[in-house]
Amino acid sequence: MVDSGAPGGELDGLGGARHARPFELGGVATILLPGVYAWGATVAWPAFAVPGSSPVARLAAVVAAALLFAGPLVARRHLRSGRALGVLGFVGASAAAWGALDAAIRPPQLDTVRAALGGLAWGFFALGWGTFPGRTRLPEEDPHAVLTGRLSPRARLPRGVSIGFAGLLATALALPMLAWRVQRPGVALLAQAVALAGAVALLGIGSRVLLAPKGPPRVNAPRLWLALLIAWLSLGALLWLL
Amino acid sequence: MALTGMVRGGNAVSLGLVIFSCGSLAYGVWSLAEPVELWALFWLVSGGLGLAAANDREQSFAAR
Repeated sequence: MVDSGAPGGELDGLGGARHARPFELGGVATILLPGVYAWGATVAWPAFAVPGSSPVARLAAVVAAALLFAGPLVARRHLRSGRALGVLGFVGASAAAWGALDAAIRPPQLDTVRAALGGLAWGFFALGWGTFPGRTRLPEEDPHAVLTGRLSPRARLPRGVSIGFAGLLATALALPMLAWRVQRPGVALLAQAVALAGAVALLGIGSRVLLAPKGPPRVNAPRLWLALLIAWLSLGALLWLL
Repeated sequence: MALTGMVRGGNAVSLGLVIFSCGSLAYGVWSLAEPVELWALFWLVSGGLGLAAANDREQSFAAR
């Protein structure tokens, strides 16, 4: 099975162009739908609906909207340039609008529900760009595709690995939830940042450890970080006892 | 079964480090809500060091 990450311009010679359009439109929609909502809720609303907002903020909001639409359109032929416009340009222009708005987007002025939904839309916007252009042709039409039915996997993950991964995922999800307990402004931001970084690191490193192949007992393992951890824990135990 | 396999394969230390880091990070983030953050920071640093050690081990083994 072949899943192409190539932009639409490379499809014509493969005979998949007639199927490319729906896939391309789907990819564009996964960017534009959340992008438009994110722009509307978090950029356009404070820039245009709040009385007395800066003209610079309004100009930056319009530029952000233009870049939001231009990015996917350019990316259909020139992926890197389109991504630069659609991601960096859109986010940069939105950030310029937020900077020019200044007091209008301070927490007391924010509508928390709109801000939360806008944040969610920003997440979907990022995911949309992450998968763009995605599948741009039917895998069965690729000349190298194997069409003799399903291929059985050579191995299955043991049940213990699945259980371990479920625990890892639960912890990674629990960390940002726990961070919401923290109320004090500066510490709350630290808690959110640490929880997010910890969740990402746990998922990445933990899944690698869980999926590591079995082998002979491992000798000569690196010990620098382990030694630092033991020293750090010993220091903590000493301070606790004193 | 898989866990014993990993232990046999010498993966127990890495697995233990990841489990320790899970608990340490969770307790550290939880404790940040308490009035004194010193011990919260201690557990957060411990979790980070645990993850760094597990990562170091796995990268080293994968490179061989």
